[in-house]
Amino acid sequence: MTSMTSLISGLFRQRNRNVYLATGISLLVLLVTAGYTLLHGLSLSNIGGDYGVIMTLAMIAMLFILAVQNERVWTHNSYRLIPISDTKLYIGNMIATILSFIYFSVIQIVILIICNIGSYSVFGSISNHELLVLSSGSLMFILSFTFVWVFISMVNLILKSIAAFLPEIRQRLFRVLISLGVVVVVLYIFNTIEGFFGKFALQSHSLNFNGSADINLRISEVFGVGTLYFAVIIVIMSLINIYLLEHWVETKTTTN
Amino acid sequence: MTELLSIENLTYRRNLRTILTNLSLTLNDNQIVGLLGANGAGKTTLMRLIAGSAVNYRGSISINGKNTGSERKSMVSFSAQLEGVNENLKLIKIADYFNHVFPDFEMNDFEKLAANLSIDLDQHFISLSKGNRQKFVMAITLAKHAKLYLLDEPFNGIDSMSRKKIVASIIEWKPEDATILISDHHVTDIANLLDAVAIVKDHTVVTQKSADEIREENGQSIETFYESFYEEEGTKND
Repeated sequence: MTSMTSLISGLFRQRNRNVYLATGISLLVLLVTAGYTLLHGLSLSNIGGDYGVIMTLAMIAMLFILAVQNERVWTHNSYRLIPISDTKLYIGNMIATILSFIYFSVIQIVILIICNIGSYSVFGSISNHELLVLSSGSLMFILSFTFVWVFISMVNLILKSIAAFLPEIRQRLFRVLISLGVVVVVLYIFNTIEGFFGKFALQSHSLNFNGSADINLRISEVFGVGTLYFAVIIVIMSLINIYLLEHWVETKTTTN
Repeated sequence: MTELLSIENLTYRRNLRTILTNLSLTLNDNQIVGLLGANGAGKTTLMRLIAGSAVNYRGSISINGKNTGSERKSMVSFSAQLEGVNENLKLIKIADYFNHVFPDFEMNDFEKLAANLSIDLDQHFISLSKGNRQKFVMAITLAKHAKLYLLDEPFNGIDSMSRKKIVASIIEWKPEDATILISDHHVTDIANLLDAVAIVKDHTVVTQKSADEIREENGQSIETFYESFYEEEGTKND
């Protein structure tokens, strides 16, 4: 049987090809921006700000690139035939995607810091409370991205499961109609769950910023509740995804 | 001989179509078995079910007594396992991925197989001709040390020289106790390789016989024996 470590590192290495490609493209855009700035006789003092915009766009693009790579695993033999249980394959695939995104984010932040050298000190004067906000915020940020991948997987896996029961003719038409139906139903269920947890979160943490004595602690509390909320939703959706993967979702067929 | 694969009452439906019905099949170890049948008979589906690519079936499939999907996957090497690889990668990178995630993959064996089949590992997968693609698929499949090899139409659309090289590789690289299930609808391509045949027709395995039985008891070649199952249908169609 394949170990979880081998699976994660194998998938992580595959995804890194796109991480390096996206990093290369964002650096190229930065160079073009810097060249354009210099050609027009302007100062490079705002290059850090420019890279902030490039980085945001690159991260949104990476979110979707990784989603595509994540989804390929559920329906292709080169992944599904790995001798490991579907539960472990699901968890390993998600972890590899999250790690690739963290890796990409770290590279982007390093480039951003380099672009900002001389402008201001980024970590020089961070207090413990600010560090707490930064770390709890980062965790919630990663979980919110994980939620997107898990959500996309759920819609995709539900669609694949239903498609197996559709007649082969007019599959495309049925799929479009079912896709719309599935998205509406999933969003409705998600809103119901969100309402329930939102109420629960508000009841347990009445957030009051008036005191501002320790606003950073309050913000970290908000992030903490958000993190918990995302974690619960991700676990529930993942259980559904694993069930679908184990019992209904098959790999694509190619006919000889 | 020990029983390796046991399939009982397998039924598989997809897209409101019955593909396999009440299919039973038993394979012993150390054999090369031909899975014969017309186009669309369900040979590829049967292999997908054995390998674990298709999951929604009724009945039982076990290899060496193990019937969970992951256990079966650990004992099978399926020629369709390259589906979904990044085709822009170099062949050596694809082999490296297999070496990383499949514990039974032997990189040294793969390199020797690739050399035997004259495959240049610095080529990109996407640039391969159909024949070279099949040779690469065979090198990856045979480089896994499995109990059961599932070769789905390995000679489809390739020239006679490549076919000879692939046949030589199958004979040379098959582990002694392993069984190979090889599907084809051009029986002449594989007839000389086979120890036994299983014929798929009407959504099920209609017969399973050893090559010796066919030759001695029926006095037929494997090709004639196989064609006799489709003759009646052909006559009706005429």
